[in-house]
Amino acid sequence: MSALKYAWLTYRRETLWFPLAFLVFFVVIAWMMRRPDIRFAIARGYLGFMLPLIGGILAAYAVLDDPALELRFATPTGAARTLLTRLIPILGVQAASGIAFQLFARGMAVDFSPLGGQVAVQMAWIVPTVVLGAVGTSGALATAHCATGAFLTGAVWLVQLLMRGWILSNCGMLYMFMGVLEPRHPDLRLSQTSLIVASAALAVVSWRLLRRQERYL
Amino acid sequence: MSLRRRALWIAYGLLFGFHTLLLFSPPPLGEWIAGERIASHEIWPVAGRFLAAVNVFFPVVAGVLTADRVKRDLTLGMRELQESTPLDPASYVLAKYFGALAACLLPLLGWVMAIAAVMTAIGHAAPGFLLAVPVAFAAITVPALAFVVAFSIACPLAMPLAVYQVLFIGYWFWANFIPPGLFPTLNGTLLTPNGMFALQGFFGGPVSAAIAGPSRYDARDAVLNLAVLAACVIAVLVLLTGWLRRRARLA
Amino acid sequence: MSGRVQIGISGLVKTYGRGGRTVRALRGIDLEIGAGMFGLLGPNGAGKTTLMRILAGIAHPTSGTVRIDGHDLATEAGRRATKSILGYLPQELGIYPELTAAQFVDYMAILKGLDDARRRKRRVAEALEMVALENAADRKIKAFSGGMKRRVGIAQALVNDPRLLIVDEPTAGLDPGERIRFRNLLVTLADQRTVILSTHIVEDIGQTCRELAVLGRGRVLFRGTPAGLSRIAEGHVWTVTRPRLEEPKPGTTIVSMLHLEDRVQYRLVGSRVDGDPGAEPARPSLEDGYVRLMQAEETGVGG
Repeated sequence: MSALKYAWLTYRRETLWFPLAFLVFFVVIAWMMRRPDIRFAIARGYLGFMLPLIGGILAAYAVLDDPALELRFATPTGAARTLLTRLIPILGVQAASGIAFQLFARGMAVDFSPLGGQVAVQMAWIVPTVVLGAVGTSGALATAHCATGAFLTGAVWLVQLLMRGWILSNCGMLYMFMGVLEPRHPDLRLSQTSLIVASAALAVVSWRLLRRQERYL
Repeated sequence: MSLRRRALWIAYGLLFGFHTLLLFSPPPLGEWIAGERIASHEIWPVAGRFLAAVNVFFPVVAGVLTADRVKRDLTLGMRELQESTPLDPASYVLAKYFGALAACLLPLLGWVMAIAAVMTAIGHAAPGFLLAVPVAFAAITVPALAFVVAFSIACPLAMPLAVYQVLFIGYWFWANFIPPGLFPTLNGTLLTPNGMFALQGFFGGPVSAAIAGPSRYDARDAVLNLAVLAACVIAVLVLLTGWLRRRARLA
Repeated sequence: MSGRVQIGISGLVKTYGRGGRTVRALRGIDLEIGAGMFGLLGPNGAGKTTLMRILAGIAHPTSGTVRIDGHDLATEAGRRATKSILGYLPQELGIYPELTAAQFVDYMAILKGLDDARRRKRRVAEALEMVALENAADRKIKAFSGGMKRRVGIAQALVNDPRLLIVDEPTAGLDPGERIRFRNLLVTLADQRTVILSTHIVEDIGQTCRELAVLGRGRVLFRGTPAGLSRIAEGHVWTVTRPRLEEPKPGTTIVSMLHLEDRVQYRLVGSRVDGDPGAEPARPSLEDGYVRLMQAEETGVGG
């Protein structure tokens, strides 16, 4: 717990205030809209698109954007523990934002049932958040450059948004927005499972990469 | 110096591969490479569509990777060294801007010309294509990247880098790809930098070969769009210069 | 946990790619390092930092063997075992400016595996006291001077009571008083552990180290005592007085210059200063020996 506490204290401040600012922004926008369908669209946009993008880009900076990286590497703390302690706070903030937004949205009578039941609603934003987090982290570690990890996160996000039809027709298993945009798709569960497995594979890749510490100095 | 950044070449390399795959894929994914020769009267619209497609993702690379160019000088203390030289803030800003812009444009120009050369060599396009592509590059891609790079070197000075990158990627989607009827957006206004105005106004091309019908924008709209984007670029660079001057005075 | 370590380096080679070229940072290092304070000297690009990082388990050898107390640093287990007894102060010390000194050292202690909270708290207090920062423990590091930041760096290196302490350019940027304090602290620490001091500042080595090695272009050019390094320059050090500034002759290096009222006095290290009436032989210092060694290295490469 102390390690997590310090992992949090050693982050840049925007790791907290930026997701909070976006949360407040979307809460206000949703509150200003009176029509239920628009409120739903905003809620879906925040949970399904913005939350994962923010999480992915912050994850790209989580490990390597560390002023004491060389000191950290000289300790017995392994790569797995480093990844966990640096990523858990970020994903934790995203999760807290997602849950907080849903509480506000339900208070504004936003109906999430078009996305399915409770589990389906949570999976609709958790899966893309985990995927983009994995892309951001592994991209940054593979290229030893946080901004490239951020770019890869943004590129995947954009490609998935803009080429939705083609991706659904040709490799639907990798369509991370299926839960928000195609909640009734028959392959939804399979797709989400595939994406979680793919994210786990990227996590393993990240672990292997981070063990080669000198690449990052 | 920016041209030597490994991150730039990695990102561009991935996009070059991605776009080349798209270009040589059959419809509906690929546009026009597979199959028929481009008719002579189609050369200019096709060149325009080619570069408009380039504008979907390449500005994202430019925006994300140039975001630290000026901020880095401030963070590393380089700015203090530069202020002790005869280099005035205006020259510094122009040098940073055009340097970053050139680093983003040159590899891209090389790639589009290579594609054009291949197209011509294999007989899919007449030699006139080799002229149409650089003209379309100048009219469609250069303004987009010029707009993006200006904001990207300036805005991160007011916010953390990762925050800017998230906002920029969100902006790029919101301001260029959300249909105006669906949601309030800058898409379709004179502030749109994605090249649609120039594509339709100068090159007579629709957004996609799959979309028939007359263009929404004419040449006058395209000129206005370019003028507005240029004015935005100048305004940002002037503001940035003023901010650096004030900062030096107060230091 | 204190107690010195034995370090054995055999045929160590380190190469890495940079911009399409292969850089050979270390070209076959053979070195045995035992108890006490050991100095590492060398010009920029000699491979000192690369060697430090390999010994700290951060960089991997390309070939050759490095063993610290029998642990092979080519293996993950060996590197982890070394890191558990290691205190490391890198050349570029990165810190978290928003943390207090105590928080920073506490965090590093956690990363080094000091999980027991009470023991860790005691060790943090002891480490800060060793570097005379106990009164500044609750101040944020961003408010510290350069010397204080360096002392925080040493404190984090000591918090786990390491048997091996590696310090890379620890006195860079410090004022003379801070440098002397640092040197004395390192010598005190070397009494009970193995300390490897890598530096450009010859005087720091001379004042603190029983043994040293000089690296150049990735190789060990000299291994021995400071007195032995000084002796290399015996017969090659001269004091020369001239009416005005002059270019040094080929094969000589001006080590120091002093402008007097009507003349300039040089200290030269070189092969010959024949026939110069103003030249007087001088007793070589450690710096002279270093300069002479570098001259011989360059001559050997060129010849």
